[in-house]
Amino acid sequence: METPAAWLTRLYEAHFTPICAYLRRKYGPGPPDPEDVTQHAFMQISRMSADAASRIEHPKSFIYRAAENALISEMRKEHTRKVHARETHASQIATDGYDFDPESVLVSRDELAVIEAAIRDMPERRRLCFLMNRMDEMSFAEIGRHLSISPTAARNHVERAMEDIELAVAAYSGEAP
Amino acid sequence: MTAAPKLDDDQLRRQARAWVVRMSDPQVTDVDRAAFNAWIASNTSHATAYQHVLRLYNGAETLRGAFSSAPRAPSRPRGARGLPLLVGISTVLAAAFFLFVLISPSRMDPISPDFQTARGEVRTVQLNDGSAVTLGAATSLDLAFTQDERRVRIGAGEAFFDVRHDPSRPFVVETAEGEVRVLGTAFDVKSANGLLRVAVARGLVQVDERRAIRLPIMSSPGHRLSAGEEIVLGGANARDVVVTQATHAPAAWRDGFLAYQSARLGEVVADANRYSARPIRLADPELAQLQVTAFYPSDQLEQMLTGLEDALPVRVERGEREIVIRAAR
Repeated sequence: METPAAWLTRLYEAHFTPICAYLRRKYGPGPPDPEDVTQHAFMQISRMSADAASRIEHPKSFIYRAAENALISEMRKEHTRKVHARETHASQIATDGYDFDPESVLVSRDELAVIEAAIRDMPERRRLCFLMNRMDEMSFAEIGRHLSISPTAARNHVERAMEDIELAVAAYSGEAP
Repeated sequence: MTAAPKLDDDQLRRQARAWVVRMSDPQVTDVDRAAFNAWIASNTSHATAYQHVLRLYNGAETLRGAFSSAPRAPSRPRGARGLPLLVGISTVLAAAFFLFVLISPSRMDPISPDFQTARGEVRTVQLNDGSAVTLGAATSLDLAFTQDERRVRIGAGEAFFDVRHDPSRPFVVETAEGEVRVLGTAFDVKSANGLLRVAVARGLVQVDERRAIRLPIMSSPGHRLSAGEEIVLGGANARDVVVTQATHAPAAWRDGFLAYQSARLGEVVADANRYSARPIRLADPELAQLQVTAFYPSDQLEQMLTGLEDALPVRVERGEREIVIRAAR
């Protein structure tokens, strides 16, 4: 069994730079700075309890998701800091809990099964658009060209697909849709 | 563990979903990013809602192996993502700018325009020079293309131009308040009460006021704007209103959002009227001067009205025939 420090070091060496590149490609150069945020995410993980760390099934997915969550929270906080300085403290604590809790970051095995079933139940075109977008990482322009529809239509299909997935997961967890 | 965020607001869910999907596009633009930033910043619940949808969206990636890509498109190599950047560098000289003109409808050309959109309609047309124009709601536009010049006149409304580069035939957008010249590329035009607004996304543009005295050869210096800047030129009696400020989510309307940073309420309402089935009226003209920062989907005017009530000392009367905005007592 690997020690937590070795586990984290390996994770850091393998993924720090690719995570920064992923965040920069998706959300731009910031602020918040993608490297600062990723660094912060690794620090938070190093402080996780052994119990929480043991619940991480997919460390790579986890650190990507945690860093992305942290970036979004930071974007929000950048604004909050400027506008409502007094709210910052409370929101920071609450947000960090959400960003790095394994269950809040990753989907469970059961949820994955629900998502897979939802994808299989989709009308063909919706499913195709979603798979091209999510699995093949094609742009909406490319998907549109491929299916002879507009990029906007392709995007709308993917939105409907996400709605299907959200509803299926909500029904599974017994939430009101 | 932290409880999942409570998202009982359908609208919030829908917006969050739309953003997760939009931001997943490998070709996401700076305009999208700016609009996304504005959305995240505009309400503390937005980040939580976005993360909630993102968890499922990102989680689905794990199923890649379960869905063979064979029946789908030939998956392009992952490394190909660098390509748009190279294209971006090669067109670095091209200017993209957004011009937004506010003209009262009475000043519209009585002759039927070349292009006209209905209230709430957004449409893209291809021009014969290879340029493309996206017309916003309630927009009219006339073309006058010659050997030497491509001239477009905006009667009313708003349009985004993606101009084919052609140094020998400058592209000129003419409005009642002035004109904007480019050699190539992309800009946006909007129309509703005696104001001319130009916002530059990238590159450099020159804006000439119509009333400025122009010599036949040497044009007046006009106003030069570079990327990220915006200028507001006043109408008939407001020559002195020249504001240069950082621009914010320009032309977000093309994606179905209306975005304003430190805008006047009069402008926000004039735009909303190009989308709203029920006319929106200010009970007191002075209300038009109130400063507003707003961001909302153009098909969700109720969201905008509620936002105004929250942010400004106004109350909104939602009548059957019209919507009236009054000063709060």
